[in-house]
Amino acid sequence: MSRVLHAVGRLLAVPGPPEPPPGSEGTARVFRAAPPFYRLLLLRWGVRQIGGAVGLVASLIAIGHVPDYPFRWLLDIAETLGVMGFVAQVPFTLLLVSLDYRYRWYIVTDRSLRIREGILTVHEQTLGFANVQNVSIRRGPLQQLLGISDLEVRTAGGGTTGRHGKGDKLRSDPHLGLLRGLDDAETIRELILERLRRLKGSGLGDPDDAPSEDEADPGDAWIAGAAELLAATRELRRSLEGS
Amino acid sequence: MQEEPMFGEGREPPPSPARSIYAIERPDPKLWTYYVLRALLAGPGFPFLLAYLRFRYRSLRYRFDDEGISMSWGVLFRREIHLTYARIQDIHLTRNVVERQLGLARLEIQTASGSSTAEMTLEGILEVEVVRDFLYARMRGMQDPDSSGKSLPGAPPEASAGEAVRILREAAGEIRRIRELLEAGDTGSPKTS
Repeated sequence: MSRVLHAVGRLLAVPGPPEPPPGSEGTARVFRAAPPFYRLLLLRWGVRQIGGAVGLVASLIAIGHVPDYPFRWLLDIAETLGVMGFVAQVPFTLLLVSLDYRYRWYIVTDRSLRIREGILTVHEQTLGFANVQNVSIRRGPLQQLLGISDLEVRTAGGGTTGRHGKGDKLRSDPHLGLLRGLDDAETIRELILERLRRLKGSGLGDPDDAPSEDEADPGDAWIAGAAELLAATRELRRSLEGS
Repeated sequence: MQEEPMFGEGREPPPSPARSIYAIERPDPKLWTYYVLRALLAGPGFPFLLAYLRFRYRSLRYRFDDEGISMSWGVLFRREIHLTYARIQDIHLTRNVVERQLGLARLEIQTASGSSTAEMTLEGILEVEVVRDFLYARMRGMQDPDSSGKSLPGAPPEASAGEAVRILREAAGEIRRIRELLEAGDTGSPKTS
């Protein structure tokens, strides 16, 4: 099974594990989705398939009740195509589900988070901890049963949800890093929070660069001020001497 | 009064001269291939989408400099975006099946704005991983915290501190001599010259 999956992965040119961001050697930790997440994906897939099958059967019954008319054969063709398409997509989507579970990586470095997921469309997201606003854990009833959870890392900025459908949360909210199917989300959250704490001045409103980037060199300002003081006192003395 | 340029230690030199990235100006011709395929998917809208994409492909220009990226496109409706590296929050790298076959990718760059779509989408760049790492090294919060904390505001760097202290000592000496003058002579009516 795994050999088949790898062959398909190569066929689709799905890239292998993501490389950690440069400069994070030694601090990068790679996480994978937990095995129960695979079960959750399979379950979702199964529910979707059953829904599709029920719809297909219902439409078949409805077509069966359509009385004879000249273009009846068109409906028959559509019916056959529908059934064939449904049967054909079953192994294909099942394969995609297992690949989706396998080709999924989360990298936490000292300064950033990188999420790689997706099969048909490979999506890699890199977000810096300097921009993280909050970290939350989400766990639905099914996920509680399976003992896994999703970790959400939000950066500043808005984004709509639901425009691209519920299942595709990442694409609809670009300011959200979603680590799905973790079995130790608390540990990773603590890891992220601990690294956030180390970055002083997180969030917006802090100067981006090293201070005094655009103003004059502070050393120059000191010298200028001191020189001014010297000139003033020297003038005062001269005027006193002259009097 | 100070001849030498006073660059503090904490000042970052522009990281590795990424000449190959600064040289990127136009998208790769493969992007046009991809656009044709994308227009084919539009079905009846094919000629219109193809025309639009042709204009977009022909007019797309990138400019990478030391501070940020500029991108412009459009013939009738021109658009130009500029964003600063330091404001980049998230970098999304997306490639679908077709793009992977062609060696293309989309690089979506997010800042803290409220829009749900990317502020800038770089298309048609072949060495996209290099560009990603280039942007990563310059985005918010990637500067070395140790080096940025070195020069606090108000504290003079080592080299100029000595100079400032010397002038201040001299000024103190002047004040001392003024006191001596005041103590020595009568200070009835000091005239101003």
